[in-house]
Amino acid sequence: MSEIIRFNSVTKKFGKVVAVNSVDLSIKSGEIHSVIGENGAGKTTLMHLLYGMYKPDSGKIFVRAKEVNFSSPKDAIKDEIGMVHQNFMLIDDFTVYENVVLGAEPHHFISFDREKAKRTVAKLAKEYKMEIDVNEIVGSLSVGLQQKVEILKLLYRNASILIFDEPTAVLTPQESETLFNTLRKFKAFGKTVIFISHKLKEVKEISDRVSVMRNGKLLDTFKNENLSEIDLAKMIAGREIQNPAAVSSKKGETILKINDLTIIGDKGIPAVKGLSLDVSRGEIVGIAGVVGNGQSELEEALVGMRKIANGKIEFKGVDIGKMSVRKRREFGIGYIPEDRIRTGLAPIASVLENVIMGHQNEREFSARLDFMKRKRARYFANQLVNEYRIVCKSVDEQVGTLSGGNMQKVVIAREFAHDVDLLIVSQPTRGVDVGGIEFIHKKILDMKKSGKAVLLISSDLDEILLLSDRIVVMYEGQIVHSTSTKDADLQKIGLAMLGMRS
Amino acid sequence: MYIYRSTINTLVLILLPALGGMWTLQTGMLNISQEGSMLVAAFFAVFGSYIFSSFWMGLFFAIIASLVFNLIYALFCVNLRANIWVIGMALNILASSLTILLLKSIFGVKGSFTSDRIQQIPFVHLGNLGIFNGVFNDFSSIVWLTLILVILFKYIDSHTTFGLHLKAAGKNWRALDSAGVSSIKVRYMSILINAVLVGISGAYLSIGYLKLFNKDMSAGRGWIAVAAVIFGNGNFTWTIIATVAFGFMDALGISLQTYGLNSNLTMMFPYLAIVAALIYQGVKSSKEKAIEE
Amino acid sequence: MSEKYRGFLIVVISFFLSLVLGGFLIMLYKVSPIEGYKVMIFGALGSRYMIYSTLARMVPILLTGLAIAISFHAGIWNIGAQGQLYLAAFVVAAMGVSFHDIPTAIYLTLGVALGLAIGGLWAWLPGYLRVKYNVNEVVLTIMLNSIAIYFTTYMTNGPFRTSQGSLGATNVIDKGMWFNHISPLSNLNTGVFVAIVAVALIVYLMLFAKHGYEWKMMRLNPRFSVYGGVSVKQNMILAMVISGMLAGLAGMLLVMGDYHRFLNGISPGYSWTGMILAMMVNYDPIGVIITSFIYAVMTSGGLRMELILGIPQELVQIIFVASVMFVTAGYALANKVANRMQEEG
Repeated sequence: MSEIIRFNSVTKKFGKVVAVNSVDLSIKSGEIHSVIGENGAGKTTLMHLLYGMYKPDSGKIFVRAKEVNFSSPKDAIKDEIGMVHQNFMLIDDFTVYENVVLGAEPHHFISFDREKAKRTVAKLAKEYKMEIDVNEIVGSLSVGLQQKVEILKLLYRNASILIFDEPTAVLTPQESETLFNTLRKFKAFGKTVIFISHKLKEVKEISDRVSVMRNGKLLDTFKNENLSEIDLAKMIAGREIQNPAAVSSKKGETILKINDLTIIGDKGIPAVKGLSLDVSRGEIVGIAGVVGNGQSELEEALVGMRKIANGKIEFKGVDIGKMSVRKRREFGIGYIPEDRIRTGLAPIASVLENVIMGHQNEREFSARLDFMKRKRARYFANQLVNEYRIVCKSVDEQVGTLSGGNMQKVVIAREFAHDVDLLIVSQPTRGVDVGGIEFIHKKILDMKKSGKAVLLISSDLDEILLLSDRIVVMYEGQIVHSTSTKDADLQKIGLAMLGMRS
Repeated sequence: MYIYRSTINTLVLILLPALGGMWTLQTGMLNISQEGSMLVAAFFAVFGSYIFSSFWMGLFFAIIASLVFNLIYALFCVNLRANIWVIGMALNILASSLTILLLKSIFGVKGSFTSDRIQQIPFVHLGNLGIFNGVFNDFSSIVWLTLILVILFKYIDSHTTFGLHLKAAGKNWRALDSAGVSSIKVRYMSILINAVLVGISGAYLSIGYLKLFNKDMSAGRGWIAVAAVIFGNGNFTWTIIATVAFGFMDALGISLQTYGLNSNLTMMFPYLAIVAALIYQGVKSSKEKAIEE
Repeated sequence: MSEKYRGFLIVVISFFLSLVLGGFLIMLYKVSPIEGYKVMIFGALGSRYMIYSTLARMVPILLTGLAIAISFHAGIWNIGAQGQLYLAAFVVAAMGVSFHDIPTAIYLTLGVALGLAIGGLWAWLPGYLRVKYNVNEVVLTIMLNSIAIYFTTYMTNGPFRTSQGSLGATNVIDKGMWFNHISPLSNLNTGVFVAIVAVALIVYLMLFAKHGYEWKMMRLNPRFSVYGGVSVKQNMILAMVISGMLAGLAGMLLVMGDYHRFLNGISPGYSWTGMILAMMVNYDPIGVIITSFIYAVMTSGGLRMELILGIPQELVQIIFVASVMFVTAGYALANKVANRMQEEG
């Protein structure tokens, strides 16, 4: 096999951070090549450089032995390179075929030839054995199908080098398997696949060769068959992996009782249907499930940001279904929302202003005549910055300028500083670097140890397995599977996430 | 018949900026500086037409002025991502002061300027049409131009890739960019097209039926167009319906004055209609939503 | 560099730049910029009388500026200060011409209360509709402006037409309702003390009170505020009503203090000016106080500049609009935050 892509000591810096540090990498035509490493190791940035989204600060990139200097993805597409991003680049209101042909539409004189577009896309899907209706509105499709639309976009543009950035992060184990079959099909058709992941098993399963990245550097490239999972794991982390030994704590009284809860979603149809769940003091209950199965609506309803249509939420023996957000907070509920930038923070405001939110009515910070004790607030903010090791110039710095991990720490510091009885923690480590993840996991376990109840919602199944005492799986607004962690069966959980009962 | 003709005449004034504004809204850029652009265009139409005694030059100057204003809007709101309301309001206020300043400095008058040297935009006489004389004859050529533009816009909006790109830019510009189409370019296109339409509408205001510029003579017409755009929410049919309804109320208000109703009361018509329409739209859509704010 | 300090610097540099731009414009009239600005400043502050009328000019601008600042600060866009001002001014005048022989103290209190109430009410309506039905408040308040202005014009030409000569005005209001002029040479009147109290309250509310903090967060991220337990709906309406009350206060003072009657052109675009000033200083109330003073100086001097040098006074407004543009550009360039956020999603 001949070489199709070559990175020659490529470096990319963002400010002081060296995201990609003098990387040499060679990819052969027609192989499935995995790039593996922890979050923040520089895998995604490296691929963005290849795809023309950033320009390298130094070094050269060769495609088919020709030096390239892409200034936008457009150039990369011309060279038959395509990329499926972590966050899909799809227009929810458009149909499948409109999304696929966007930017390269078939013309009939000056008009957009919709019939031809439909025909071409349908033919393409059939060729690669993807079952999808080209007339469907993309927003109504499952995540797995949306990913197929992304792949079709690349195929429509004749991409022969396909980059997949953590494609399985949002998929169930079974959907991942289907994806792997598609990838093998690409290989059979002679296309080159670059597969980015931090999941060892998948990489072992699918790759011909594996490159390992750590802290922006490419350590080495190996043939798959010469590697064991344990070797890989050591290299990725640079040390032995330790699972935080499940902290045992005494399970206390049941504090949150959700009974037959129904919530209407944004589209006017029920997002949560008749859901019942209990959470006790001193335990972590993990909600697993593919994104978009009612988890967001559930967490919002629990804290009072969304109306409930039916059912009962009982907290410390009181029906809180109609309480305001403020009352619920004062009553002892803390909340780390799934989307920190949209919900959990005001990115343009300062660290100080962000950590006070939710505390502003407390005696400590407010006096008579609506007066706000800003000096006291500053002291409090500095305290949290120290305790949670939040990296910022001062508490007056805008939160939006901090790194993803530090932003999340601001949210967590603020919420954990409340004297609460129940914590609703959603996607706590999404987009957070390795060190940050460990720190956050430890803090969550500390909360459990101190006797608080924790409801953990995460699309990262590993995280759920790592932290929870009990696991429930949500599918289409209902709990379809429930198990204690020590009896958990991965196969069953995976099927449940897909809505299939074993 | 009188109401019909005056509805058509005022409608053109609102329809042009409403069409342009509909497209900028589709790309995600609500343009609220329509009132200001229209006013500046109206002034420069008079200026161009007066200096060269040619309505062509009037139109040309009006369009250039409107382009400059819209380019400022685009620079701030597309490139710098500034707040559209701040920049839009600043431009509207600037237009009002600037035209008064220019009136004083160039023509040496305070409130309004008129002259016989100003050439009007010609009318279209189709010959004797019998009973249809009143229906079709002697409208400004801009009226016919607008009619053609409406049909053209309808076609482009739903049958071309440009129409698709406009909506894509508004719904998810990252997706459009990643598909190799620059969303910034699409937004600029929509803003420049809007600028031309608003320029024509401004010229129509000052040299369409009149030969005069009055300070603040756009008198809220740009805002009515913005209201229609917001009401239509990027949908071609609804934008047109809203524009026609508001234009009709405007014309009705003006016509009823001839029946002895106080002009200040009848002038409130279109505004009351818009308030009612916006409330209706709000009530309707809030019923479909269950989310707490 | 701290945020506050940076913001201050951006505003000062922008204002300086627009003064330079204004200087170039003055040169177009074949006048040296220094001469032009000198005439302007002398015209505003050259004598006691001039200072008084400059201050009188400052009062309505300051009040409408704060009216806009407080609503924009809270993330709700009250463009309707003009209408609120007109309606409050008219209703107060209507009371003043209709009732007589009420003790001064009571009459003044009633007048102030009525002005505040009407202004607040005319702002409550769009605020309520925005919050309850998500009706776009910008278009709504613009429409309500037109309605209020046409309505008051109708009243002064119809039922409340003056019997005392000049057209487009009501009769002079009952003397019991007057805030007296401090000096016979200018419109500055004792109503200024009411204004000072109002300004002090607003500064406290915006800078030192919990509400000020909550409003700011509402503007920066409404969803975040909901999440933090702020009752966004109530707070939006509250900010809107206070904003309307300030505009109403401005209108009421113009009637009870400056003119002692309602006139059709009672506000030559005060609310638009107030908007420019509020936007220029990013809704900081202290900033509004400072800029409205500078603006008052430049406009009252601008009149003189037009008389003596033939340079239209609208130049001042153009300088300030340019300032807003520069400030906006300055923030956009200095703020890398926005760019980062768009990358992350």
